[in-house]
Amino acid sequence: MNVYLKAGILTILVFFSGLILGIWLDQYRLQDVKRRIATLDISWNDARLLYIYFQKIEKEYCELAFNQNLAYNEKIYKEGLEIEFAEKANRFTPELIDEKRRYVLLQTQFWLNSIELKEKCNFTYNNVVYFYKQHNLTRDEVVDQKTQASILLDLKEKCGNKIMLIPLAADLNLTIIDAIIKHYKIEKYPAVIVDNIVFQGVTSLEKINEITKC
Amino acid sequence: MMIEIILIITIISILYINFLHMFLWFESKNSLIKNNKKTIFPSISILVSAYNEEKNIYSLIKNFIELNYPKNKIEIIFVDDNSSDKTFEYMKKGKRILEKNEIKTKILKNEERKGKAYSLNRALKIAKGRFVAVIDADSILEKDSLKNCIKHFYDGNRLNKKVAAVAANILVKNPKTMLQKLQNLEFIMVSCFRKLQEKINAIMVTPGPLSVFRRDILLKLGGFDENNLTEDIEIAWRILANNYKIRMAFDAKAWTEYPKNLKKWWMQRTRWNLGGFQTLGKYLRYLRRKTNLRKFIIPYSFIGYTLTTLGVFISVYLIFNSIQNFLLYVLETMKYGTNPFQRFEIKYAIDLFTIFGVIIFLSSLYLISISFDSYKFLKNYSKDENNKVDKNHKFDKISLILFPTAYILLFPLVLIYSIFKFFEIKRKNISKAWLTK
Repeated sequence: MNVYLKAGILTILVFFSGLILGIWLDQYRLQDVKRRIATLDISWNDARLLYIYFQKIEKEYCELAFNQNLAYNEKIYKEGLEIEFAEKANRFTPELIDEKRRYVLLQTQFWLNSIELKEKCNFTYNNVVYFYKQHNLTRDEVVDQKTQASILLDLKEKCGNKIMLIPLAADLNLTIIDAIIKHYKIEKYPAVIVDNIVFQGVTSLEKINEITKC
Repeated sequence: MMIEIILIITIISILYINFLHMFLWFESKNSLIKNNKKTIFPSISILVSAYNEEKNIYSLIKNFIELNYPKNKIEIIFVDDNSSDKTFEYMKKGKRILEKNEIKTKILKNEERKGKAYSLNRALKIAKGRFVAVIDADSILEKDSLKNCIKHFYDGNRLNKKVAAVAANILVKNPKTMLQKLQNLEFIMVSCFRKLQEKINAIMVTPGPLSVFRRDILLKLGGFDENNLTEDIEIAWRILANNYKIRMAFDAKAWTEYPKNLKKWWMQRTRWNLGGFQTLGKYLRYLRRKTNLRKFIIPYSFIGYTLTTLGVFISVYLIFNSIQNFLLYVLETMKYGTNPFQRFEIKYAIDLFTIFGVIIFLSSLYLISISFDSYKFLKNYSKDENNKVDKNHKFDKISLILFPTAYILLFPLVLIYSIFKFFEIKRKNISKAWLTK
């Protein structure tokens, strides 16, 4: 057989083998994300039911629910990093965006639950919600969002259990998120909502801390 | 998306080139050396163009005398390209020594500096040999090199009418500086791949340090192109464009001087690239014709130049973008009093391009090992006692590390510089100035 043809056939074989391996790796990461989201979903339902159950039978349910909430907050943050990691690497799995949407919905539920818990139990912690853009970012927006994320992590380190940090992607076409954005009149990203106060653009730790007072 | 498409085309091209050379190796590894039963010694004219080469003339003459080739079959033609040193005087003294050794010698002198191609064409006109060997004045030939080149023109005792030229195996003479050691590694690889490319009529250059041509064919094709910066590339393409073949004598070694410092290296490579562009431009139309240029050389050169250029611009853009983003991030975080390096971590996800990167790396590594194997084979095969340097040669460990990590990265950079230079030369019409460098 002609040597050009042999090389051509081998190139096609190796190229498609590499492609298949790449798709398999993406699928593996997608399944991993799906499994993580499913676990989060179960954890969420578990925590939510426990909260309802305690409300009904226990008078001193607040402390338990708070601890549950806190543990969930940490867990959901770590899983968020894993999803972000998969998002960067994957090229063949558009379904990953649906998993991200499910994740954001879980985060939103958690936030609303956190507000409810704070009101019912008279907790003093603050809900710090960080809105960021996922798509079509300009260079300035990339830098601003990375800076804001760093500031908020500093805040979390400083305040510990006194704040619930909830990052939410703002542009995933979710009705609830769109409604929240409309309600708080968010036009510029990154945006931070501390309880009911909205900050748009990069906000310093000191400014946020004026409210959180850690 | 555009970057991804270019990356995919680059991956496919590199994989194809690597696999092609692997298959060529499997088919050629047992025939690296041509063994003719009977040694043939036709008449041969050795053409030497020299400019300010006084320090090399005597060793060259000594080298000619020691060649394992019948002295009465050799004719030497020196052309002094109007040197400002004593090259011409040494040539005259050398002529006497050579003639004492029964080697016919002629000397020509250009009245002004005209360049190598012009000098070789002058010598070609008066050459009498059936074959002409072109050598650089700073080259040293292995004793059997001419004999080993000549045998490639023959199939048994019969002249192969399609073979117009034979390229020798060119290596670096006494590599001392790190740059020379790196070039030595490069030429070891180039020699091996050139030998493999012989099988598909894709030898792209008849190297200046030593190449042998059929005189009649060279004259028929019009001699060397005096307007090309690399007459040795151009003549090879012209031979193939006329459907003649070029062979490579793997066992015909010639050592030549290569730049000791980066500045000279850069200038030399720029000139080679410029000559390459000139040649590609001249023969691009041959893509439509059924010649030996069509299958490999033109597509390879065209795609190679294009992808390398795009690759450099994309890499520079991506690196610049990342650095700019990082610096902006550092400045902004500092403005807000937070430590940018606090949560710095490197986490790498294996993606599609990592997989192809590994495949390309491994296949390239295999090709490098092939070329080293072929070099070792040749080292053991050589019986020339003059070849002690080569026999005792050991690969320098640092150069082995620097070659794939740093030296190779210089090639795309010099290519980009050459492109800018090419357009500058076109705009200012200063190609003659480059010819004489």
